[in-house]
Amino acid sequence: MSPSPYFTIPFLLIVAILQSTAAPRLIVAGVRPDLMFVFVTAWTMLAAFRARELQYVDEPPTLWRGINDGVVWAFTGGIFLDLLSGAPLGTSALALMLAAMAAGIFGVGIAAAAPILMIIIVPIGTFIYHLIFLTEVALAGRPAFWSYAVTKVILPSVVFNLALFPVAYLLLSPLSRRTERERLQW
Amino acid sequence: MINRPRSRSWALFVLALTAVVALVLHELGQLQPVEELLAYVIGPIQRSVASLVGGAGDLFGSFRDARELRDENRRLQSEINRLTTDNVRLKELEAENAALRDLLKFVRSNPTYTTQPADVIGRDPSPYFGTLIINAGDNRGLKPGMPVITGGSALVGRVLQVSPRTAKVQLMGDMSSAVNALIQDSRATGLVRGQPDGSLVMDFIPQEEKVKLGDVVLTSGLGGDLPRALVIGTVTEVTKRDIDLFQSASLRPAVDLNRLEVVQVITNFEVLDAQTSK
Repeated sequence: MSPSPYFTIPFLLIVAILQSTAAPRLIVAGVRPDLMFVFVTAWTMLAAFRARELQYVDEPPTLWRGINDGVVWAFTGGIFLDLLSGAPLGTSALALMLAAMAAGIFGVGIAAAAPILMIIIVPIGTFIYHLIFLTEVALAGRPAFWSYAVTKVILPSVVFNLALFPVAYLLLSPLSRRTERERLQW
Repeated sequence: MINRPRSRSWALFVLALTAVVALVLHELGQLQPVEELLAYVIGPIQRSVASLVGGAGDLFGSFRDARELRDENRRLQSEINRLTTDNVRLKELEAENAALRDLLKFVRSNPTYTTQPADVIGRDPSPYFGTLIINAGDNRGLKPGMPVITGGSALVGRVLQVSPRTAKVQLMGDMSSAVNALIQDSRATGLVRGQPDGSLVMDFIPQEEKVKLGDVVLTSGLGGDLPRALVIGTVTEVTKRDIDLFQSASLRPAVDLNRLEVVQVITNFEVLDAQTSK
């Protein structure tokens, strides 16, 4: 069971606002953390892992549980980000959804066998998120500096996101356990 | 349960489609009422969080004395910025005045602008956009295209989008930003554009013009989308090659665009550029 929308929506709104207000104060080497991406990815992985722990591994819903939860978070959080951004509405939402989808598939397919491997999803997801975002921006007719983005934004962001991912994962773990318990009781 | 994965895959498809449709509708300008409504809801929350984050920043800032010194330093720095930009503007006005007296034999009144002060309550969450969110919007008469300044006459950018209580401001350093400019001493014209890292470059300066390090760059007023004589920055590097038609110059902005806390929106300037009033 996914967390209640009464929790999810305000939580993701706060994360988006923190991305807009606090993240610019955390700039290191010209790069700030992708708070929303980190939380969405962490939740996607948690959802996939919890489903696997509860031995739904071979059932299709396991895969969908991870992907579905992550994508719903990605869509909601992405829309909030876009509302606070100069980017067209839907840009972050679509980029985050595809990154979450990759995280969900990876979470069930590979990382669930060896959880330490989930750390790989952060760089992969960061690249997917940024490259999709830039592609959309370029399609909208805005200049996109690909080499600059890769060397000066995406690669440093990978390091930042890797450092924050365990924090987000630990913060969301209790929520994941709680929602799973609710599911069992139901 | 058998149908559940299929229904979930449909849900994913619908969400993805919604995002794409939102993108298209946004580009067509059809989503503005929805965005305004959502911004109306989010604005107060963002203001509260911004003040909390600001408060927490001060709390972690360290001891009382250090904070007082920092505040004093900030105030003095702000004062220096204001006086510097005022000085440059006065110099420009003096030159203009002299030129008009000498050449045209008439006195031209100084343009005076009405401004609305606003606090910066947020920045663009994406590293690829240079946008600010300010706590003034339709309620204070803001409209898209209005010039945004700080420290007296230092250009910050333009109002991009207005909601009932907030507005988005496109910074000069945004990659989509382009400002008609001139060099104060030589009067050479060019186009100041934002770079991916938020810095500024003045392009299309004619090859025969002499550009020196430290030259002050101002808005030229060409195009009618911005008032003239607003301070943009100073030249830090000149790139001139014989094979090029034009030379270019890197600029240091008159104000640190990453540390803006308060800005002013010029509300009585009539924007002539049709694009900005879109």
